[in-house]
Amino acid sequence: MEDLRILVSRCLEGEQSAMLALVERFQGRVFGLCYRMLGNREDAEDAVQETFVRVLKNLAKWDHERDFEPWLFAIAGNRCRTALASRRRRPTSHAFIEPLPDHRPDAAPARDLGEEVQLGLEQLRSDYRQAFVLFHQHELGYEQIATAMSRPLGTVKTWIHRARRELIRFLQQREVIEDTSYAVRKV
Amino acid sequence: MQCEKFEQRLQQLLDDRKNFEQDDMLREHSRGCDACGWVLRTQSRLFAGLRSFPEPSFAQDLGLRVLDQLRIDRRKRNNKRLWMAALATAAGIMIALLSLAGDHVRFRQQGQQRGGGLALVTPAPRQMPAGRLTEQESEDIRWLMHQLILRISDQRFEMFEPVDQLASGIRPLAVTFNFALDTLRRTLPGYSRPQPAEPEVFYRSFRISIS
Repeated sequence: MEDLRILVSRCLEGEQSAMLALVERFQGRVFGLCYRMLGNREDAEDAVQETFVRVLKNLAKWDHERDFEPWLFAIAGNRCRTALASRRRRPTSHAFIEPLPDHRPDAAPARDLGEEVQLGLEQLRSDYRQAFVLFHQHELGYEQIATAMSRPLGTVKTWIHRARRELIRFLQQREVIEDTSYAVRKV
Repeated sequence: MQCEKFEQRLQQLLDDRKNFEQDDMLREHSRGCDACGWVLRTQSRLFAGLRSFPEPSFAQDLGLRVLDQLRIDRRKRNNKRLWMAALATAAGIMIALLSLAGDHVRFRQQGQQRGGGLALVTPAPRQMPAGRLTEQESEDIRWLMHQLILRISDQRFEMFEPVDQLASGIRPLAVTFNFALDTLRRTLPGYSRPQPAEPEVFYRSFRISIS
């Protein structure tokens, strides 16, 4: 944490190498969030770039007593939601993904399962998706996610729980996981 | 273990990000309960999917792109400041001219004569009587005007150039501004060119200076 504060101080003094170091330190994790949120590499890279530009311009506003990552992820999440909103406003060539069974063998390679989960994530509400990714992929705590998303802790827990439930439903519809009569009762 | 307890324990393990698949209590219950066994299997499948997420690589020059973007933004901000400075200079010239004119311009309420509504600044019909200012005062005014025009005209085209890159609509304003400066310069004693230059001259100069 101390080295991060020093790095931020150097950035605030306008040191370019420090800015570059800050971006390189967090770009992987921010890209991970943006990619899960937006579903494609180009949009995710744009969102990462916008995020860091905003972060570096507003670095003086970061409270040194608080964790850096929730603040960073809050900005990245806002950028992603803005990108999603503008994507909704403009006509898109992306085909709507229908939750239809694809009749692949049960023993599908793990890579395909990962892609199915990614597809399922794209169908989630953006706030569910962000909370889910921050919890399960970036391993942020509930409180950190609540801070990053400016929502009560209970709301964040509910969103993550619902995200898991909806993902399982999606995987059932895609016949990636077995569908039984228990599904209605338990999920 | 009851199904309700099973669900509570599963949620707790998920909240704590612990390995629920290897939890003995959950496994034992799920062996005897088909519904809970199904829940455990589906959660396992979901997390297997999460672990095998495709991880695309990203451009390695992201940091440099961020720095470039910051530079562009900073330049835009500076240009905006320059534009404001140009406006302030123009306003300053106007104020200086009006101050220098002093008693020799009068404000006439057009509305009183023609029924309009705007107050206009118009030159007085009579020119400044030579005897009202001392020789020293006249010399001081001339010197001040000369300095003012020299300072502005030194960089008159360059000051518009950065603004022109963002908003080409500045060109007619720049031409007008420079035409006004030229007219003002011609009123100074000792200036050789009596005829005003055509506005096109300034327009051409402006285009050359920014190309």
